[in-house]
Amino acid sequence: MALETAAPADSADLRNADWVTIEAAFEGGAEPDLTELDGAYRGRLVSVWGLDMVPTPLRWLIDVVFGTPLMPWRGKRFGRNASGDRTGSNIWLTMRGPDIVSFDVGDGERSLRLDYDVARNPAPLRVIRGDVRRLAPGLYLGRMAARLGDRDTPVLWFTLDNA
Amino acid sequence: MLTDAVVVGSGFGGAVTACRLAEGGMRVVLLERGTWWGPESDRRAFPRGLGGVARAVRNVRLARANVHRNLVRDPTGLYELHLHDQLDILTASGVGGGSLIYTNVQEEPDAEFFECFPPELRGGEMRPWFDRVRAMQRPESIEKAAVLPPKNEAFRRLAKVMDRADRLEHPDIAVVLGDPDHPETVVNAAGEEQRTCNYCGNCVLGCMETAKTTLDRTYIPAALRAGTDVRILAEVEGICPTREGWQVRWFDHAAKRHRVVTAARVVLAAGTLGTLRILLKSRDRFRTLHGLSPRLGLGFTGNGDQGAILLGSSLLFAGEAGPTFNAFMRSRDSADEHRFLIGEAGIPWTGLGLPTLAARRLVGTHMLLCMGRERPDAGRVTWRTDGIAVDWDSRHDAALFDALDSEIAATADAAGATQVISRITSAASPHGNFTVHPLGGCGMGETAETGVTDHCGRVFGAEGLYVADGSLYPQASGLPPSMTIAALAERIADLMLEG
Ligand SMILES: Cc1cc2nc3c(=O)[nH]c(=O)nc-3n(C[C@H](O)[C@H](O)[C@H](O)COP(=O)(O)OP(=O)(O)OC[C@H]3O[C@@H](n4cnc5c(N)ncnc54)[C@H](O)[C@@H]3O)c2cc1C
Repeated sequence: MALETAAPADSADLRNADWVTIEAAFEGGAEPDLTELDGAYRGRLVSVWGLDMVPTPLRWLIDVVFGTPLMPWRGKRFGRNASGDRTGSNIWLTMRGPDIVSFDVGDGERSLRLDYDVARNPAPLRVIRGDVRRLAPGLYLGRMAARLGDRDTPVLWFTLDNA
Repeated sequence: MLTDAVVVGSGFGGAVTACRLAEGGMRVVLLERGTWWGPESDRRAFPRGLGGVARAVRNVRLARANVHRNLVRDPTGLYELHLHDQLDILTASGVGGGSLIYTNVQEEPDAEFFECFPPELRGGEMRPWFDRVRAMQRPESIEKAAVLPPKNEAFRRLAKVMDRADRLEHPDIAVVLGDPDHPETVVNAAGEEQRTCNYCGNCVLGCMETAKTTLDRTYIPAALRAGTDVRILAEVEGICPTREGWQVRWFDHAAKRHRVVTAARVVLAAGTLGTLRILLKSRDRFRTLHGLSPRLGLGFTGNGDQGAILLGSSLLFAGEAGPTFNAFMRSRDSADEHRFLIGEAGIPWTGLGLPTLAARRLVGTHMLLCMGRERPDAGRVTWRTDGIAVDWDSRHDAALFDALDSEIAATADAAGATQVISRITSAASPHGNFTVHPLGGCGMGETAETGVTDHCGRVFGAEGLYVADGSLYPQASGLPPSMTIAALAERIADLMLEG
C-alpha cells in the first residue's frame, strides 16, 4: 500500500518543492482552532519568493542554509496576552532564545491569521500578515505575505512543528 | 489515501485486532514502533549476556517530579523502562509487543472480575473470545510437559513446607512443550513452525528457540496473510479527526522523517503507556483531540505487582531451567475471590552470561513475583511538557501491599533465604514499587462519566477511534492480563466488522 503518497507530514517533504506544490499542500491543510497553537513550535523556512527561479543547485544550497544556524529564526511561540487575546512572537537563535517581533492571532480564511500590525513592532514589519494551516497533528504550514495596499503579496513559506 | 483501519501497536491488543480486521476484509495498516526479533537471519537476535541486554534497551524514560528525560534511545531496542515518581514500569517494543519478553502465562480471570466492566461483558459474554485466543495461542500447563522442571519440584516443596499445597496452581503458558532434551519442530495454529521448549529459562530475554508462542508467530503472520500492511519502526506521534476519518502522524525511524496516514478508523493498541501517550499528547500538546472523557488517564493501575529478590535460599534453589514463571500460590478473600498470587520467576543467569564467580555467589538467589487486586482508581496518568507522568503511590491500597510484604516474608522464611529485597524499585520512597503490568487509564465504562471507551472499545466523543489494549481495564485483576487483553481485542474486532 502506498502510504508514502499521503499529504506532507514533515517539513522535509516540502523542502525544495516549487510554490505550486507548496500552495497545494496549503490548500489541503485544515484550519486550526484559535486556541490550538500554544507554546513553542520549531520553525523551518521552506521557500522564499523568487527561489523557484534560482538554478536548482543554488536552490538546494539555499535550502541547506535555511536549516543551519546561519538562519537565526528558530520558530514561533503562541500564547495569550494579559487581556486574554491570542498572541505570538518569533524565537531567535535557540529555542530558548529571545522572543522578538510579535503578532496577534485571529481567525483567517480557513486559517489562523498572524497579524504583525502591533504597536511594539517597527513600522516596516507591520505590513506582514501570516496564514497558518494544519497539515498533520503538530505540523503547520504558514504563508507570510506583505500587505501592500489592500492586497497580500506572498513572500515566503514556513513550517511549524511541535512533535 | 484513506485506508479502512490503522492499528497502532502489535502486542496482544494490536496483533489480534489487525489480524481479525484484515481477515474480515478491511484494508489494515499496522504501525509498530519496534522491529522484528528472533533467530531468523532477517530479524534482530534477542539479547544475550549483560552487554547484549544493555544494548537492547530502547529507552529509559525518567519522568520524576522535576526531571523528564529519555536516557537511552535506540528505536530498534526491545526493553523500555519508565521511571516515574513512585513506580518503575518495564514494557517491550517490537513486533509482538509484550509477548516477546513476557513469561507466557495465559490466565483467565473469574467471571466475577468482569463486573467492573460495562454490563454487556458480564455473564459469560467473554467465553467465546477467550476460546478464540486459546485456539490460536494453544496454551497449556507445565504439568502437561514430558518432564517437570526441577524448579517446579522445588516450588512444590516450598508450598508444602508453607502448608499451602492447596493454593498451588500451574497456569496455562503459551509455550510449546515437549521433551526438553529432544526438542522437535511443530506447526502451530497459524501454520508457522516452532521448536518445542528446551527449558533454557531465557523467556524474558526473548526466545531464540521459537518455543514461546509469541504473537509474531501466530496472529501477526495470520494478519500478514490476510493482507495487513505491517510497518516497523513506525512510531505514532499523534492523531487528529478529519472530514473523512482520522489522520495519524508517525515517525519513520528508518527514514528519519514523519509520515501521515489517513484512515476511516484508528485502533490504539500501543500498550497502556503508549496509548495514553498518544491520546494525551494529541489532546494536550497537539490540541487536535477534543471532547474525550474526563476519565482519560484515571484508573491507572500497576495490577498490584510487587517483586522481591531472595538471597541465599536453600530450599528454592534448583536453577532457572524451565519456562520462567509457570506456577504460583493463590490467595483468595473471604468471598473466595482472587486476592493475590505469588510465584517464583527464574532469573536467566545463563542467558545473562554472568562470570562464573558472580554466578557462584548468586546461587540461591531467586525472584518472587506477586500481583494482586489493587483497589480501583489507583493512579493517574497526565501529560507533562514532553511526556506522560504516572502519579501512583502504594499507600492507596496499603492493605494489599502490606499483605504482599507479609507473604514475601513468609515465603522467604520458608525458603530459608538469608536476605530479602522486597519492593524492587528505583523510587527513593518506601511507597514505591515496580510493575510489568501497567493497565487502565482508558477504562471501559457505560458512559463518558464512568469510562473512556464503551464496551466495544469505542472512545466516547471520538467516532471511529478505538482502544484495544491493557488500558481498557477499569480495575486491576491481580492476574496476568495478556489473555484478557487478547480476548477483549477479539471481541472489539468482531464488533467493528459487524459495523
Ligand atoms: C517481563 C514481563 C513479563 C510478563 N509476563 C506476563 C505473563 O506471564 N502473562 C501475562 O499475561 N502478561 C505478562 N506480562 C504483561 C504483558 O506483556 C502485557 O500485559 C501485554 O503485553 C500488554 O498487551 P498490550 O496489547 O496492552 O500492549 P503491548 O503488548 O505492550 O504492545 C504494545 C505495542 O505497541 C507498540 N507501541 C507503543 N507505542 C507505540 C507508538 N507510539 N507507535 C507505534 N507502536 C507503539 C509497542 O512497541 C508494543 O509492541 C509481562 C510483561 C513483562 C514486561
